[in-house]
Amino acid sequence: MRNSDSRSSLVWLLVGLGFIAGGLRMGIGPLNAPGPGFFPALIGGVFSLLSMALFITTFLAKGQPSEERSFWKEKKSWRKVLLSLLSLVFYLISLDYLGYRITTFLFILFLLKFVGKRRWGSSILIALLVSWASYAVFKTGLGVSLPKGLIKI
Amino acid sequence: MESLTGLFYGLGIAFQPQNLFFCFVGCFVGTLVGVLPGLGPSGALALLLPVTFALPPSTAIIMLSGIYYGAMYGGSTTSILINIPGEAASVVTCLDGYQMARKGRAGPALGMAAIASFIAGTISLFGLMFLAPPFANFALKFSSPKYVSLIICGLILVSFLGAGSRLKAFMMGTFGLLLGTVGTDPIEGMERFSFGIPYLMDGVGLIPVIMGLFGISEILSNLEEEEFRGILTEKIKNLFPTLKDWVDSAWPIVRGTLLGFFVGIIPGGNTVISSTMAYALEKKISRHPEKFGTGVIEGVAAPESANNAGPSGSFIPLLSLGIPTNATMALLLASLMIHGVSPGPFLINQHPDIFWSVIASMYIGNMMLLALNLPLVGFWVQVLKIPYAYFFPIIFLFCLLGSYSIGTTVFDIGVMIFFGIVGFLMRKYSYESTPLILAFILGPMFEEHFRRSLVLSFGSFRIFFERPISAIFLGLAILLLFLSLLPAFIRRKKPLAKDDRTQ
Repeated sequence: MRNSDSRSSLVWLLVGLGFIAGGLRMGIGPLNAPGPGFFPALIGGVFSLLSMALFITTFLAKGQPSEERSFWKEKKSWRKVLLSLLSLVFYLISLDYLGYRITTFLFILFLLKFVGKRRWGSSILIALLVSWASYAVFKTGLGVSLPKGLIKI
Repeated sequence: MESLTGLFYGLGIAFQPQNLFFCFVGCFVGTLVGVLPGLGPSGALALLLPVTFALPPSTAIIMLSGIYYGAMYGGSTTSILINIPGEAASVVTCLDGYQMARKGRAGPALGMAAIASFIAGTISLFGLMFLAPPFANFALKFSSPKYVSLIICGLILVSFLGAGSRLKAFMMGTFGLLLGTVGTDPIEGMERFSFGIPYLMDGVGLIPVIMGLFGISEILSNLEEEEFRGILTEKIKNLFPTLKDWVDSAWPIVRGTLLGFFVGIIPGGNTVISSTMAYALEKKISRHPEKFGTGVIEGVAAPESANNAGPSGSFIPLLSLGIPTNATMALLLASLMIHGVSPGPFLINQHPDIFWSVIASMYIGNMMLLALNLPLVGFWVQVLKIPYAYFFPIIFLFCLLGSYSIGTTVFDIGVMIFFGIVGFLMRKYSYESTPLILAFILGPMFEEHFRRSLVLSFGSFRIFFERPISAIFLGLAILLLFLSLLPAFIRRKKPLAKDDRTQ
């Protein structure tokens, strides 16, 4: 983890500096009437200092045995995570076009079948059930407005 | 006595059918979440937060807190039956609980876990009831500098008590404060860091961040695990502990309750810490310490008492000061804020209905949970048999619905996914999420008090040290910072069970 710490600490440093810059631009104001930029700049400064400290610790720890665990717990792990993330993004993109029920149906079906590795039959059934039932509960029961999509389903 | 009249007033509200119903829902969901490994109370609270939008504030908090302390009941079930903690606070219960099960004593273990939880939960409520009003009265006189010092001290304490690198925890807290500055400046109303995106004018959405950080990232982490196998399939008979069990457990329950309660009050003091401490304490003062780990009932009674007394303790700073002491409390705070209730010492005076009905419903909830966890244990064993593959798509859906329903825009979903990835990476690289969410929620309030203090003092920082209370908090904070520097950023040995940090 040490290498990743040293890399991420530089990223953090940039973030901190960014907030300092932004804060200064907004105006930190006199100390007795701090402006909108005061707090971001101050905290940004603290954050930058901390990230520099983190960077330094990666050097201090050089002597100790490296903790380079592999990123993924098991070799195939990344597949499930990536597929799930993709399906979430798919949901994000399709919701307004396909409408709630269709998008949800496809989403659940995909997850059950390809990530959860269930059979086609039960996956389709459950996906149908969940998308219709949740629509009823949330739209009718709780009054949430859910998109109908271009196909108006 | 103010407290007793308050309690009766609260009971009147808590017994309303709507509140009874949602109290039950909360307890049920809490037990479910506790029983199922991999989803913790914070995640569940995050998921159900949007559901509570349509509810009145008292009902919302009643349900959400039911989930919290309900999970403390349910967590022991899997610890005892399959040696896998249902949630982080029940890790220690595995040690002796599972051994008891292997010796055929699963019944008494489960029974004692539930009963100890009930006793601890109920007694600690008395503590909450009698301590919170005086605390609030005391805090009414708090001026801005005191709040600043208190929050600084609290955030540092939370980072200090977390597992893993303290430096990284401090960084997360600081980052949370920075995130909180995005949006409108609390005093002058100026646009900050919104980069011209209208969505960001109100700041980064609280709910999407919570759902991403606690909901989505949790599932993504869980997906990496292979599904567990092996349930103790033998029928559980005889839930009742023997007389000897009772005698052995009596004092551990008392000690566990006290420990859990007071640890809960401290910022960063979560149920993982208190249950572990309770177990260690019992082992230390026991006349037969070598038997711990082989299946002694005290090893179940003590941690289960501690983790159920904790929530009551945690409620004190939240309800009397408006300061959340752990992630779950932070979510409850978020819920209050969303309902337009500003937490703080005024809460008891301005919204006695919320304060007292929540406390009253906790008494009711504990009784419901006793019923849910004792005779209905068999039901939960069946639930455990359902593969995770069926659960997680539903959980994802809840997250998506929750984020979307706030502003009816997919932008919220985008923020949620983003923070889901962030949360996932944070878990990978050992960054604590609790300080981040606490700082994010408290940030605007903190900034307001901070700037106001500087105005009051005409620009001098000495104001933070002048008032004694403020000075004490700051002194404590500085002490903690100093203590953190000493081991020079050495990581602590014991990583928390994956669920926790969100306690």
